[in-house]
Amino acid sequence: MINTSRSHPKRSPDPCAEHAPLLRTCGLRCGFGTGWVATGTPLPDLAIQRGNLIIVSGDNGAGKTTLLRTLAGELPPLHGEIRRKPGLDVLHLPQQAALPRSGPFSVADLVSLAGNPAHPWLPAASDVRVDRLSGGQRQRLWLALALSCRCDLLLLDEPTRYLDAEGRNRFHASLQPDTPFCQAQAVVMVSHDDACHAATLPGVQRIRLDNGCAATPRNALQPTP
Amino acid sequence: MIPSASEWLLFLPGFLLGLLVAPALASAGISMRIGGDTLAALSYAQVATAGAMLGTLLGWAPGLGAWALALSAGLLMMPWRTNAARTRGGTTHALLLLLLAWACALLLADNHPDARLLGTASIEGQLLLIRLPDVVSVGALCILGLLITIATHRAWTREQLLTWQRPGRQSRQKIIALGRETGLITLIAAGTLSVGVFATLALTLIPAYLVWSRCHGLRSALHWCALLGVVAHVLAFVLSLLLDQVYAAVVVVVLGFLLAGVQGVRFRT
Repeated sequence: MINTSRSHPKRSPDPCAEHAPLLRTCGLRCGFGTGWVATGTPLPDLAIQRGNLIIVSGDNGAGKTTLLRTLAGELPPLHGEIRRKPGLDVLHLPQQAALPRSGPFSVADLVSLAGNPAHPWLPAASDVRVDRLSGGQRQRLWLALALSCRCDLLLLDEPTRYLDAEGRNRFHASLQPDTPFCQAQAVVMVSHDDACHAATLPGVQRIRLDNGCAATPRNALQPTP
Repeated sequence: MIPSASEWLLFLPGFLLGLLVAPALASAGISMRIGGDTLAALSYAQVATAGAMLGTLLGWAPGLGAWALALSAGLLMMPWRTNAARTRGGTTHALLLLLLAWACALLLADNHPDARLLGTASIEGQLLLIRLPDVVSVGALCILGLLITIATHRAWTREQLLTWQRPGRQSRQKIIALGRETGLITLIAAGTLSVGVFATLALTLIPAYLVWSRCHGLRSALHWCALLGVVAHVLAFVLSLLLDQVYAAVVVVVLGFLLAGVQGVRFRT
């Protein structure tokens, strides 16, 4: 296992070894090295396994994006440790992924670069330039490309921004890991929408960050059987 | 004065080399524009000039000196260029490199007659009167650069356009960026040694600028760039011979006319 520990002592034996989680956190605190701590108290320990869908919600500045970046390995944890399955393939779709970028890039170009995915959310007109799509269409395109990528863990940061109400509902209703709609084995999604449809699905785990603290009870985050 | 048939034959190697170099540089311009580093073409061309001069003084082939120094500078600058691209800050590094290379080239030219000749040739371009051994070496350099660029194009473009992060693949991304940089610098060195510094810049800058907002896809943009490069080269070559003018200046003028002529035109494939 890859150990990215900074200050937390090693734990043994591994209580979840039989479940072979994709990623585990122990006593994790996230933030930046400048003294500002996004999640002031340790988050409840996570054990992300195949088929898991975890929704992270909270107010602006609560540290949702910071948590995602830490799970992705882009930021080191301030405290605690993250254990990843060896060779874990993480795909992180940040908030600004679908910002318009001018240039002669068609939908077909991006689809071919992403490995020729077939996804119901891909626009029908593949010869349209990406910078001519609306914000919502572009977000759907990026989501379709990311969702159709095979990876172990997909991290989505506010994926439903720019989507209309119908698009949001369809997205939440269809988001199930390891399915044709979402080929990632597990998904962690940041959402402002506490009442989103995905949150009501069975087996979905939720973390709510309030004022830099994880408000979710620890026992709510046990791996789905 | 119209050249005779034998004179046309004399210029044939340069013409054929231009048919290879011009579309290659024009297509490479798309990659440089995607990376936001078109200005780096000018810097690397100037470094290649200084390298050719240095190579001559050391008894090396000018092509080897140009390629080696430009590549070394490019690889040394890579961390700064990557950071600059990330912050969208980035032209300072290219301008600093340009100034440094220009100062080196000027000092070399001022202290050695062979370096001075090379310096003049790098401004004017030496395509018209290029010798056959140089055609072979520059052509080989250009083909090498093209092959490396083509090999890395898809993977590098994927990293640029699909703006999600795959933290587990960072070392692979670095290798791809290194390959892409090597290919582009090799192409620019070949361009500097044949069409000159400013014609190299014009060929990487103008066709890509022309197609950027007009083409409907990446493939058609690359094809149109290559076609514009060929058209500009053929027109400039013929005009420079017929009017007895410097090729590098004529190719810039031709590209300028193309730029003015296609305003409002959309390219389709």
